[in-house]
Amino acid sequence: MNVGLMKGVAFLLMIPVCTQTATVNSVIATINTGVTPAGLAVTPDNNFAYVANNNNYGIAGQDSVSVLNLNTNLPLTIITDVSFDQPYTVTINAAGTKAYVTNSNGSTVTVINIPANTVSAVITGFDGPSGFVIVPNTDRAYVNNYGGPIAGSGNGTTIMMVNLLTNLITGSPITVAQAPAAMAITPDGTRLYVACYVDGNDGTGVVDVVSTSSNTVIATITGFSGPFDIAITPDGNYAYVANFGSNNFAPFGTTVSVIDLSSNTIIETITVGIQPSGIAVAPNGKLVYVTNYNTLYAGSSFTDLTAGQGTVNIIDVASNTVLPPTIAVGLSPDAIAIAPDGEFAYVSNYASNTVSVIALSTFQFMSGTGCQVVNKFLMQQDVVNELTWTVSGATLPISYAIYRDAGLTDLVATVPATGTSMIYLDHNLNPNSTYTYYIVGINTANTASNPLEIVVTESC
Amino acid sequence: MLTMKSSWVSLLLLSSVMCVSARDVILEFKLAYFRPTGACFRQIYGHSAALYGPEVTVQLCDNNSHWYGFASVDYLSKSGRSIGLCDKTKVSLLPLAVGIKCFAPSPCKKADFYLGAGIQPTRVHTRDCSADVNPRQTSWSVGGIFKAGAYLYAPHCVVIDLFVDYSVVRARGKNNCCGSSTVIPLKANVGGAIFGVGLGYLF
Repeated sequence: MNVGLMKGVAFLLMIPVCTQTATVNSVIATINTGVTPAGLAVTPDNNFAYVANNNNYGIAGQDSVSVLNLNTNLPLTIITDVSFDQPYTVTINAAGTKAYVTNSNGSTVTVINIPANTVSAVITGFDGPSGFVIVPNTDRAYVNNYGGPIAGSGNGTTIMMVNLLTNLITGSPITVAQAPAAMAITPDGTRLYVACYVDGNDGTGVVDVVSTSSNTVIATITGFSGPFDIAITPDGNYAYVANFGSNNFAPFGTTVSVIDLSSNTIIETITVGIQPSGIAVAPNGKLVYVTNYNTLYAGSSFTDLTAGQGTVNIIDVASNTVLPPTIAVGLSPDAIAIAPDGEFAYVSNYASNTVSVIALSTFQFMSGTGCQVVNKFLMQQDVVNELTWTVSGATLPISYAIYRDAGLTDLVATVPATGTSMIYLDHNLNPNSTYTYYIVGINTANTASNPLEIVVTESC
Repeated sequence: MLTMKSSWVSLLLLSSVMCVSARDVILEFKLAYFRPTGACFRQIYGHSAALYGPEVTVQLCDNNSHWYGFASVDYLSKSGRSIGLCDKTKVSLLPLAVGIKCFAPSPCKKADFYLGAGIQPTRVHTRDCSADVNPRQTSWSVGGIFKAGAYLYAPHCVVIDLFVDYSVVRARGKNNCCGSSTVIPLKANVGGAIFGVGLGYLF
C-alpha cells in the first residue's frame, strides 16, 4: 500500500491553487458546432472531438463535421465534402488515424484522415447508415441501415459488414428487426448488439444479438420502447439501452434498460429524464451517462415542437440507480461521448448547435476515517486529528483540499496526492472536541470531486 | 532566574559554614546509570541513560567532623520519540547539586560510608521535531537529591566512590509557540534513581 504521510510539516507541503477548479459533473464549457450536431467521437489521445453536423434543416453547404480542440474547448475547423448527406455519427479507429462518418440521408460512409482532416474515401452501398462499429483488433466494421433513400427513413432492416482495408462492403447483409438505430460490440468482439427502434411504441423495440463469427442473429431481446442508443460496459457484462420512445413524442420514453449479456435478458429498467437519447459508459465501467433529449410538442396534434431543458443523468452501474446531480446541458442533447481518459464527457446539443463539456469524476473515495491522537513530548503536548482515506480510479487526484466546513470555505490545507492511501494530520486542536472535515480531490483536469466527509470524535 | 539565584546563594552559605581549617577535600569524576522515575520520561526516552560529571566533597569544621559539604554538576542527554506520533525528540539535563554528606564511623580504614541530601537546581532542555510545537524548550527547576554511598580508599590518595542517588525534580513546559497555537505545556518528572561510580583524589 502506498501511503502518503503528511505529518507535522503540512505548511511545507501546501501548494497554491492557482487555477479555478471545476466541480465534478458540471458543464465547464460550451463549444459552438455546425447545424444540429448529432453523433460525436473523441480521438484516443483525448485531444480532439469530431462532431457530425446533421443539418436537419437541409441548409445548403451545412452538411459538415466539426473538429473541436479539447485542450482549448474551441472549434478547430469544419470539414465539408460533397459526400456528406446529413452526417449522423462519427466513429474513430483505435489508432486515431481515421474517422468514419455515416451519412444518414444517403447511402455512404465518409472516411476522414486524421489529423489532416481531409476526406480520403467514401464507402458506398448503404441505405440511411446511422451507426458504425469497428470490431476490436480487426479490420472489420458493421454499419446499420436505419433506412434512407431505398427503404425510407426508419424502414431499414439490415446490417452490413465493411472491410476497412479496402473500404468495401463484404458479405451479405444481415437481416435484423426494423429500424436498426444504434449498435454496440462486446469488448472481445464476438457479439454485436443492435438496438432496433421498430415503431417507437411502448414495448415494440428489440435488441438483436449478432454473432460476429457467423454474422447471424443469435438472439432477440424484446421489451424496449423506442431504443435509440446502446452502450456496453468495459467488462462486457452489461448493456445499457436508452428507450427514447415514440417518434411521435407521445408517449415519450423515460427509461434505460439494463441487459445482462450472459443471459441476454433485461434485468433492470431505470427511470431517467424525458426521451433518453444518447448513452455512454465511463472508461472505468462504474458510471453510465444518459442524455435526455426532452423535446416535445407544445401544441395539440403534434404541433409546436419545443425543446425543454436538456439534461444528463448519471447511472451507478453497481446499483443501477440514478445518482445526483442531474446535469443541465443545452437544448435537445442528442449524443454523448466520453474521452478515453474519462476526464470529460461531450454532449451534442441538437437544437443549440453546441457541444457541452462536462467535467467527470475520474476517481472515487473508497474509505475515510479520522481519530484524535495526543502527540506528547516531555514538556508539551499537541492534540492532532489523524485523517485517513483511500481512493481508486482511472485518473487519481493530484492534490486534495481539506476543509472544516460543508460550504468548503474554511480551508485547512491543500496537500499533494501521493498514492491511493493518504494520511493527513491536523495539529493544534482542542482535546475532546468533535471536528468534521470535508476532503476534495482534484484531478489532472483540475476537476474537484464531491467532498468526502470525515467526522473525528474518537481517540486513535 | 530566581531559582538560579537561590541556588548560588545556597552554595555561598554552604561555603561560609565550612571552616577554613577543613581537612579533607575529595574531587571526583562520576559516571552513572540514570533510571528515570517519570513514566512519561521513560516512555519517550527509555528506561535508562548515562549521567556524568564532577563532584567535590569538602569536610566541614574540623578534621574530626563527620559532616561534609558537596557540590556537583552532571549532564545527561538522550534521544527518543514522542508518545502518539513518534516524532523525534531529544532531552538534555544539567543537574547542579549542593548539600551535606554525613559519614558514618567505619571500623575499616579502607572505606567510609555516607548518607547525604541536597538541593538540585536542574536545567532541562528539549528539542522536539514537530512543526506544530515549540521546537526548543528550556526550563530551570529546583528539586532535591538524596545520596548514599561509600568511599573506598586506594593507595596514593585515590578514592573510588560507589553511590546510589535519588533525585526529585519536576520541570514545567511553556507555551510560546506559533501564535494561536493550542500546544499544551506539561509538567515533567525528570528525576530518577542514579547508580554510579566515581574516581577521585583525596587532598
